[in-house]
Amino acid sequence: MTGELPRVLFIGNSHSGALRLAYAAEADRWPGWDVYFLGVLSDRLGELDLRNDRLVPMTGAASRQMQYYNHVNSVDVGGFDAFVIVGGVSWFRTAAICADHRSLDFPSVVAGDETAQLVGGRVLGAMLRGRIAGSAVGQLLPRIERLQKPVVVVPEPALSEDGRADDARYGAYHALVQRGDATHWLDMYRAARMQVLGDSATILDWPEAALVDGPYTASSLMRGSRRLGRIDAAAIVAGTSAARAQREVAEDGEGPTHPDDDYEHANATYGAMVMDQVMSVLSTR
Amino acid sequence: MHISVIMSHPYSDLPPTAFWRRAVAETPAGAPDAISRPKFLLTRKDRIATAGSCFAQHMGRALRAAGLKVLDAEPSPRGIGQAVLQQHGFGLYSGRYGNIYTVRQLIQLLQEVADGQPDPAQIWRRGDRFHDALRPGLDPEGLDSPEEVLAIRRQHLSRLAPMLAGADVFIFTLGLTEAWRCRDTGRVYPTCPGVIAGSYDLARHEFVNFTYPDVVEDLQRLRARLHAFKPGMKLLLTVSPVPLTATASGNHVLPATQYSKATLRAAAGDFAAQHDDVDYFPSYEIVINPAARGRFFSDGLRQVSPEGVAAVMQTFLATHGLSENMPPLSSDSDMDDPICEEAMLEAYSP
Repeated sequence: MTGELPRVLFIGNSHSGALRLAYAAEADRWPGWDVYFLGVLSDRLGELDLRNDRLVPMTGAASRQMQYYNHVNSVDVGGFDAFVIVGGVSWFRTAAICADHRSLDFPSVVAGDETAQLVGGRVLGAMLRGRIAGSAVGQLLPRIERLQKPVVVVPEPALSEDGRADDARYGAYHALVQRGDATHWLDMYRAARMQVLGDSATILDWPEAALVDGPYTASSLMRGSRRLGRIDAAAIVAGTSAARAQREVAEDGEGPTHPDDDYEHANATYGAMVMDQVMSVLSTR
Repeated sequence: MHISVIMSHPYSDLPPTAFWRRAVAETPAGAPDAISRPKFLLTRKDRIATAGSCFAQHMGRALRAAGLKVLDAEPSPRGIGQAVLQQHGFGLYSGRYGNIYTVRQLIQLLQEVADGQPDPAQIWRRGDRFHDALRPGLDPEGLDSPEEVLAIRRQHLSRLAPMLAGADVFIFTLGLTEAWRCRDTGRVYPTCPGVIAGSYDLARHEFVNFTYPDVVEDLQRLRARLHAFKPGMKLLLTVSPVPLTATASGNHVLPATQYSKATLRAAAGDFAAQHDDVDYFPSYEIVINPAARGRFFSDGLRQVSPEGVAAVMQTFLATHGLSENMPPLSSDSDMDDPICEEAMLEAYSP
């Protein structure tokens, strides 16, 4: 414990694993902050509540994951100087919203596509805002905001370019791109995200260098991703940081690698790019 | 010698349901026995279309929950919260036409569907936003341009046509006799111009309070129009028990409400009695039943309470033999309130 550096807590779902791996591999790359991680899977992020400066699970599932992944029942977060929320809302899954419902200004509609149900653009905006507000990050952020510390929100990676062959799972997203609507929809998504989250946090976008062919992530940044590993969050309480994180990963290993057909999680190289973004934002604080 | 003679008369063999004390005063309001004898039974194979005043939203919801095929010409995207969807008219009825308070309004919609062309004059403005005057509450934030209003309405009409052609039963809940209409075209609106959007102009708009003959004639036209889409389509009528938020008739709102409901109730009942393919279900009577001692109305004495809604829907489903496998209807206070433009008049209450 340095006792001198400001402390930042990364709270994330499975997508925080890439950042944690990156940090464990080269903690010295981001020397200005004491960095800590807290992880739970999927939507359990939204099931963490803030009570008397402690993050506590609100559900049995969240409680089990707190214990499994972090070895704690709750975490005192009152002493942190900043927070980063990683993941908690999926951009590419919003493609289903406009799969059959579009407004007149969608490029596909302008081009004459009459298959979609026409609706007002503000209806779609309201749907996006509702999706984001109801997401895990949409639920967690207002609680973290009560601590009145800087908060950064990190998006889940865009789908891997390797996933373009998988229409069964990602057909709506591919269709969005193929129709030429992706950029328009992404603009709407970003606007909705700012409306819902922007007053409470700094909202990061994907690292520009990570994207290919529009809103896909380069496969080199996705292949070899690993599942979220177990974190000794007692380190958070004890105040250890970089060295502890390195030792955890070295001793316990991060989780096993994702299967080859996982196109949603990024690897440590991508994680390092995001860490650069986050630390750049925090350095201005 | 005294000889007692048992007299025979029309009341001597009537069932308990014919007597107020047994059928009403001594019967739980939530379970009125044999209150309706349907002419035709709904089945799980029937394709059902619904429309009507805001109370009708409960009907569609209950029918869907009971596993019936309620048609939806304009389904919502999946994975969107109910509040957002309902605010924008999704899932309320069998199309995004919003609340239809009068029979005349429904006839006009069906005529428009048959013609396939929206009326470009029926666009209301609010600030720099534009609303479909025939469903002004559907997009609370309005649309970008008149052209967008017309494009969306044109497609709306085109999607309703096949839905109507595929419907076996049309369930319509009559809500009001009072309406506002365009003097030039005779077109009635679901709300008074100026309340949600547009502006009221005495030279262009007039108040109308449909009378019994008007409503019966409109019901005849309604049946004919529905049969033009689908010969043999059955029509099931109910009357909304929700009172008027406000009356423009010049009368006190209580008798104005009673006039409206009495007119609709009488017209619906008489019309149903004339046609084998038309039936009436007493939603109105179940809610205003004195045995409920007012508890079927929520605070404000206007919206029907969750308990009242449950009483209506459970009775309706039981009447049609659809109670089995029916999920319990919520009588909790968190039941979604219906989307109701007419209730916006409350904002003008002194």
